[in-house]
Order: sequence, then structure tokens, then C-alpha cells
Amino acid sequence: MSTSHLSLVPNTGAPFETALAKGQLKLPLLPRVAAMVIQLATDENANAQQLAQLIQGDPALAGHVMRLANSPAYRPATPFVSLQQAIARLGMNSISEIALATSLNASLFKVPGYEALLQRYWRQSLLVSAWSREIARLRTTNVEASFIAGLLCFIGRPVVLQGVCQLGLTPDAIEDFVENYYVRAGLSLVASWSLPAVVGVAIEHHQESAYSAEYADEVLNVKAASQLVEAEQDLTQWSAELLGELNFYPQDLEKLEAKVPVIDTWIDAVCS
Amino acid sequence: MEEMCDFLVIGSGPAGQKAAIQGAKEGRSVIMVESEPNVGGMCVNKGTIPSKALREAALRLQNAKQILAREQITELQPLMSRVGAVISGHNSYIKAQLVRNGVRWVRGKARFRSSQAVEVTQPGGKVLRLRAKTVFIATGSVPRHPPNIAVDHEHILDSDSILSMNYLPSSLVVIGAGVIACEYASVFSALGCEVTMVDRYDRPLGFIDQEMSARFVEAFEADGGRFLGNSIVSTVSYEPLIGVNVTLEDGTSLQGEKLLVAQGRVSNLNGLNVAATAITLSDMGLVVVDKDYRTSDPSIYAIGDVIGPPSLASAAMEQGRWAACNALGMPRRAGEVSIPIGIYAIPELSSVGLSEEEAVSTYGTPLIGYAEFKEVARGLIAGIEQGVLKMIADPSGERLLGVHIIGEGATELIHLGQMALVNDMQVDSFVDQIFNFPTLAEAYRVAALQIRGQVAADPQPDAAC
Repeated sequence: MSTSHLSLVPNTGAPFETALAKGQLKLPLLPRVAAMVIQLATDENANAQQLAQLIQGDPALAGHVMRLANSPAYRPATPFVSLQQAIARLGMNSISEIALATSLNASLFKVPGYEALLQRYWRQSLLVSAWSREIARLRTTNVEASFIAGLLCFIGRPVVLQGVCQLGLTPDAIEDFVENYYVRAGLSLVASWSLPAVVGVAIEHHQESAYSAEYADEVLNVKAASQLVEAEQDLTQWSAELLGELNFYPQDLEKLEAKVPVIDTWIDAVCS
Repeated sequence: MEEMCDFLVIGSGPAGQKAAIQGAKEGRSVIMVESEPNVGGMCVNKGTIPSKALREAALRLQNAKQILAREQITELQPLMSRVGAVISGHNSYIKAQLVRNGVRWVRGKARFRSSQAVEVTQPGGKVLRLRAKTVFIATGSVPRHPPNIAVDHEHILDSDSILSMNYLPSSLVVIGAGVIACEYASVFSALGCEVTMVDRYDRPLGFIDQEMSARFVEAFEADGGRFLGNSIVSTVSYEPLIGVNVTLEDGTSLQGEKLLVAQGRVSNLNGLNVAATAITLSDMGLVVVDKDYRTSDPSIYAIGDVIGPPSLASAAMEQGRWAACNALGMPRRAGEVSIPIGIYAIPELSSVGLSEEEAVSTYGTPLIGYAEFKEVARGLIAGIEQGVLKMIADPSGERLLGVHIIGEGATELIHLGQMALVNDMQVDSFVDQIFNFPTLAEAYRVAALQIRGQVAADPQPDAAC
């Protein structure tokens, strides 16, 4: 990614570097999501399914839920490694409690003038998570781990955006800044929040070719999903090399093509 | 442009490997087509080898827990990492063997254009055209998905995706009670997962000796598992805060964090376009073959799971070799081939020859000898006290008819009985010969002595002394 815009403001990164080093980055919630959580968690007639879907459909809320679910307050025997696992094991009461605590305590996104960019980042994360899940299914690799890795792979982008949007940079410089820092910001968040290891590995390696160490299948699923999202869900844009890694044949692409409207419908429902 | 070869083998599982290597050893040009990135088929990559590796890990863990009184395990990753190493090692071994024998491996999905012409589409879409004098279909099988159960590989898994889980579910419902169902049900139960196995029949492993099946259920339930027989699944659904909900036709409701559908496997003919050949399929969708594994299309053989039971890797290897020999015009070996059954559940089961029910049907009143492993010194030493060897003889107590074993080491121990059966050895052979001491093989001697005792107590008119 070009740093040409950043070169105009050479000292912009310093405070951000400090926050990164100290693990002080914040992951705010979307005001709309926080309001929905409060409504669902305090409604005695709330549908548990709705709350679960809300958590799985919002990267920031999902990150907070994973952090709290793995905290000493809930003391899992071993850390939860997926959202589905945490939701199923903790049950409705604890999940409502966690979601409510998150919504009341987490700061809310304030990115005046950059709401559209934030929305784009959100939509990209959701698309990557949805495609990671479908690709994992087709490859019969772990669906849950691929989903959360996809959902949180780009979580550093909104974190960085929140941190720099009020520094007076040009829009292009802000986007460059985000692209330069989102990996480190994401990794910092994973480390300080003890998020599932697969998320950190995906953040670090999803751009590599032929990554073959731990969580290789999940990383490949996220890599393929993010490339697909970049290509606006055009499956013909996957390279022959990537198709080889995925072991996808024309029949497999046909199966995935059928998922495009399903995923679009899901994204529209989640983002509305 | 078409590439020519003598043997074209579609599929690189146990059957395909042996057919290919047999052909190559006889100087034929052999091309093997495999759609997966690695050779070995489902056996190596998602079935036999990984499930057995997980079982070994579960057994070690079970032993360690007995010694160290450790807490229940909740993570599967440490166990699965060993599975990965086993798969990788076995893949390397197979590849080296194919290379050493001069078998050329082509990655892609095969599709018949005619009986002897096949096109192979590679993952990127590139197409190769091949022509062979003889084609071997060894494409194996895929899990059968009942129409009323939507397998999502996330909460509702099949035998190809069950090992993708990265944490141990707190509870697991297993639908089915065949070999795969019993193996996974008992392994996950041994790992501390609450397992309920559901099947439409009254007992699991319906094809083995009834008493062995009952003993398996007893051991499985003693370990915390539950078997629900005579139960038909009506609906399956998933809810995030409940898990998988299974409703049976009698109204019973079961919940599990995950569900495994293990209701058999079906021939994998997907995309093969067998309609372009003269192959005949059975009503069950299996490729119909003759005794030499030749299909109704004279230039095509079919071997392994794609032709149906016994669907064992051991049998598939022999089918592959045999089919290749036949295609090469090599003489058929005389005599019957015996195939033992090995079930890598916890406890392990194995059998060869007639079951008690089959022996009763044929011989009326067979004699039966038992040896409990707890009565054998090696069983006591190794802490394998739950096993038993059951020996079945004809009413005179002379002719060995079958051997059935449940307990650790059963799949190894069975071969002694198999060789005795194949060579028509008498039951007394086990009494007259001296075995190493202490060994589990002593169980043969104990069981044979029991049969001899029955003969002595109630001698048959022509029984030998």
C-alpha cells in the first residue's frame, strides 16, 4: 500500500505507535448495534436466536463477547475458540449479560465524516466472514474457526480509523494510514484481549501465498474469502494457483456461485 | 491431443494404489488420477488413518488420566496435531512408493468421454485428455446424507468433516450404528464427551456376532455413552443457544452440541459420466462387477468402496491387486480369500469366519469356547481386562468355524484365528502348540481348552480324543 499521503504528515504515526505498544487501542461499537443489544437483552420476550445472530453479525460486538466470555468472570475450563461455542456453552443469560455489559461500557464509534468508510469496513468484514464460512464448508474444514477468523481478520481497520479520523488528515491519507496499521492494530487487539489464536494467525498470514503452518486451512479460507470480496464476489477472479490451493474445480465454483445471493441477503439483513 | 497409457487408475486410495503398482511392476505404463491435493484417498486423508490416529490419542489420554487423575480434556487441537503428522507421514510413504514404481500421478477430476477415453479437469480448469487400454475406477465413497438431515459441517457433521472440529463438544448425538458411527461414538465418549448413539435397528454393528455387539454396547454404556436402538430420526435442527435438536418418531427429543450423521456411505461417481461407458449400476448406485472386478464394460474394472461391501481398506487393496492381475492375464490364485472384520472402536472388535448365529443356522449346535482377557496373564499385566475371545467350533469340537474378539488388540489378535481358518486347522491345534507367555494369544488356547472340555463332558459319536 502506498504511503504517499502519509509522507505529508510524517509524525502522525507517533501517538498511534504509542497506543499500539501499550495495548491501549479501543474497539468501539456501532451505536445502532449497541442500542439493539440493550433492547434485546432487556426484553423478557427476546428471541435468543436474534441475540445470537446479532453477535455473529457484528465484528466489534463479536470481539467484545469473545473477550468477556474468556475472561476470569466466566472461567471457561479452556478458552472458547469460536463464537458458536461460547454462545452455546454460556447460555442465554450469560450471553445477554455479556452483550449488555459490552453495550453499556464500550465506547461508541464517532467518526464524523467517515461513516461511509466505516460502513464499508463493516460490510467487508461481514462478507469475508460469510465467504470464509462457505469456503470452509465446501472444503470440509473447520467452519466456526474460519468464520470468526474472517469476521475479525480486518478488525484493525475500524480501530485505526477511530484513532486517526480526528487528526485532520486528508481522506486518502486516512485510508493509507488504516491500510498501513490495521494488521498491527488487529494483532495488538488479539493479544491484549486474548482472542482465539486462529484470529491472530489469520490477521498475520492471510496475504501470504502457501502458508502451511498452524491453522493453514482457516488462513487459506480467509485469504480466499478476502480476495473474493476485493473482487466484488466475482469467482472468476481467483487465480489458478489459489484454486489449486483450495482444490476447487469448476463444479465447486458453481456451488459457491449459488451462495452469492444467499450471502447478499444475509449481509443486507445484518446491516439494515 | 490425447496421452496414451496402458492402465488409467481413477482414484489413489488403497484399491487404486495396488492396481497401479501391480500394473507398473509388470511393465505397464500407468497414470493415476486423483482429485485431492494428496494421494491416499479418503482412507488416508479423512477416514481410516486419521480416525485411528485420533483413537490412539484418545487411548493414551485415557491411560494418562487413569494414572494422573487429570481433568477432562476439552481441546481437540493437541490430539489432532498428531493426526496431522500421521497423515503427512503416510502421504509421503505412498507418494514415494508410487514414484519408485514409475506410476505417474495427475491431479484432477476425471470424466469419461468413452470407455477408454477420459478427460481430466485440473483445479484451475485446464483439461487433459487421456486414453487407456484398461481403466480402473477406484473413486471410493462419500458419506450418505439422509434427505431429512441438512449436514452443514458446522453443527451437523458427517464422517468427512467430524475431524475438522477444533474443540471437544460437551455432547454429541451420533445417528447410525455401523462401523464409523461406533468408532467415533466410542472415541468421543472416551474423550469425555456425552455421546448418544441412535439407530433404527435394535443393536449396533448388526453384521457381527450378536454377543459381541451386546458386549460393545455394555462397554460403551459403562464408559458413559448411551445407545438408543429401534429409534427413527424424524427431524434435526440447530439453535444457537441449544445446539442440535433431534426429534425421534416416537416423540423423544435429544440435544447435542454437535451431531454426527453416520448412516453409511455411497459410491462416489460424482462427475465421472459413467453414462459414456457400458457400466451397469445397481439399484443402490453401486458399480456392478463380476468376480474379477470387471464391470459390464470389458475395458473397465471397478474396485474398492465404489462397488460396495465389504468397504474395507484391506479388502480394497486386494481387489485392486486382483483386478490388475486379471487385466494382465495373470493366473487367478486358487482357494478362498478370508477377510477379517476390524472395528477400531473403544473397545476394539474383530472377527473372522462364522458368527454364532450363522454357525447355529448351518450346524445346529456349535460348541463355543470363551477366554476372558482378565483370565489371561498378559491381559492383567496390560490392564486389558475387558476383553474376551469367543471361539466357535462345529458340534464335534474339531473344526474351527469362527473367532470373535472384543478388547484392546483384537484387530491384531484375530489374524491367528484367520490363519487357522484358512488352513483348516483343528481347534486342538491351539491346545497342542506352545505360545509365548505371557501374551494375549494365550486366549486362543484357553478358549480351545473350553471347547475340548465340552467335548470331553459330552462326547460326540465321532469326536477325536
